[in-house]
Amino acid sequence: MNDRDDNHDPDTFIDDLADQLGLGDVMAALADTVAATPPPALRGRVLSSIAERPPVVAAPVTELFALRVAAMSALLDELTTSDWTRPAAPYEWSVHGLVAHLTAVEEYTVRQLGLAEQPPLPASGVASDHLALGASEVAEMLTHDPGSTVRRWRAAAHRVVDHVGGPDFDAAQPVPLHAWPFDAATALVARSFEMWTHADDIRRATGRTLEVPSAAELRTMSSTSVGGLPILLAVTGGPAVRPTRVVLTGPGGGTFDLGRDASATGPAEHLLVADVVDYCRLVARRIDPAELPGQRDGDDEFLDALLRAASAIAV
Amino acid sequence: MPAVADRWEESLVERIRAGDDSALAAVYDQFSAVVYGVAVQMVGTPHAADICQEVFLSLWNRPDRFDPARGSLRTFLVTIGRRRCIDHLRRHGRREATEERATRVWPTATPSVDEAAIALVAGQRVRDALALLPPPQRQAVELAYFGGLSFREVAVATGASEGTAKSRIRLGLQRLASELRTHEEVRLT
Repeated sequence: MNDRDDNHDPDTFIDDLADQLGLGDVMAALADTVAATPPPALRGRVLSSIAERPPVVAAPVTELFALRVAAMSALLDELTTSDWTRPAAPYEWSVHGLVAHLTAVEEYTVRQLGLAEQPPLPASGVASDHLALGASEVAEMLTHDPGSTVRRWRAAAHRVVDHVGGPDFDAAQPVPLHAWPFDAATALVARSFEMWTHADDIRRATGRTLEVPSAAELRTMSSTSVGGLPILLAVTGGPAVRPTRVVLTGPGGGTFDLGRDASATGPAEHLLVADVVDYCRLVARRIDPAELPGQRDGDDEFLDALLRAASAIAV
Repeated sequence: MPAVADRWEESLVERIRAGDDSALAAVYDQFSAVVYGVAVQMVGTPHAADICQEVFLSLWNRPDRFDPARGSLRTFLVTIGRRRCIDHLRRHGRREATEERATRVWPTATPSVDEAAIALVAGQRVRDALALLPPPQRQAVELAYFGGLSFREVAVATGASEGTAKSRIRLGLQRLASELRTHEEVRLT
């Protein structure tokens, strides 16, 4: 008799013993000997009784944007003199050039929100070319020291943060960004994606660890992106959306049904499972659709089109 | 367990965590026969469905409790099921049920669907291993496992001392593990 046995609950003795001896697998194997078909109705009873998983509380878009500005600001404070000259892939710019580009986009955002003297630009012409926009400003900023560019970026970024956090901000206000006729809320999410992605570009260029946003931020970014997929499929010339379940795993993820009635039962025609951070990096074109880790079931051609649409906004 | 099965189970639990009810359906389809079968043996058919439902709802509500480093999903679900059954027996007068369960012959279930049938094939190997145990050890393990009897109840049912009952359960489990692990083809998940 083993003295350790004396400490067990009499009712759960065999379970505690198996746990203590590392024999949980034997306990499960024993269950095979009594496997029995459950009543057919039980499956439906189980599945109909589960409560919808409460989603992670999404960050308000204004908070998301402010947090991304704060993260970028903190990163820029860390950069050393040599960091500023490092190449910032996938672009031809240095880190300084990338921050100058971001500054030009931030100043453009100020204008599109109606905060500048010049009126907002339409979603066409030169404004539709994200990388060409502000090229002359970028070139000009690169003639100065990085500190000057950072001050200019902060001025523009903080102007946006102050405005969207203020009482006059209208989330439904049309804010065309490049070729996209966004409302203000969607524009802020798109800009947050961009800020996060460029911050990681800088981290990658300077040997720093990439950042994973909070669950609340990821929820806002991913749910906005997935919610826009039917429209993005249409505007990118893809097929019409088909019944698809998108499962984004990890903190901030969630389950989304596209192209299905709320009353639909049974499995969706297509299934896409991916880590929420990977999905967001795909949206930002930092992961190729063909290389997205995860699971997919259904028509590959359709799922490829869906993933291409997901990254259509990024450049 | 093969690594691919590990990944499959972890992926399903990740999807459950993300709120994907179709992943819970897949887990149910794979494991409900063993969970339900254990419940039938321990608490009887009238209550087994409720226990089975509780087990899968528990996974849905608390997926973080599954730790793949500690064992397979099958082991986790069977463990939860057994704990729920023991709680049920505690609440509903295990003493009254003890005599009936102590005289039951295990196993008795006859599954009829594919997953249950697959489990039954695997179960035959486990039954063969059980048959190799010395009868007192086999009886003690069967009473404790399938009957949900406490070691004190096993002692009463077999006319042994409590210490002897505990020793028989311990030795029986260890020998069973040894028998099963000498045959690589046996599913130990």
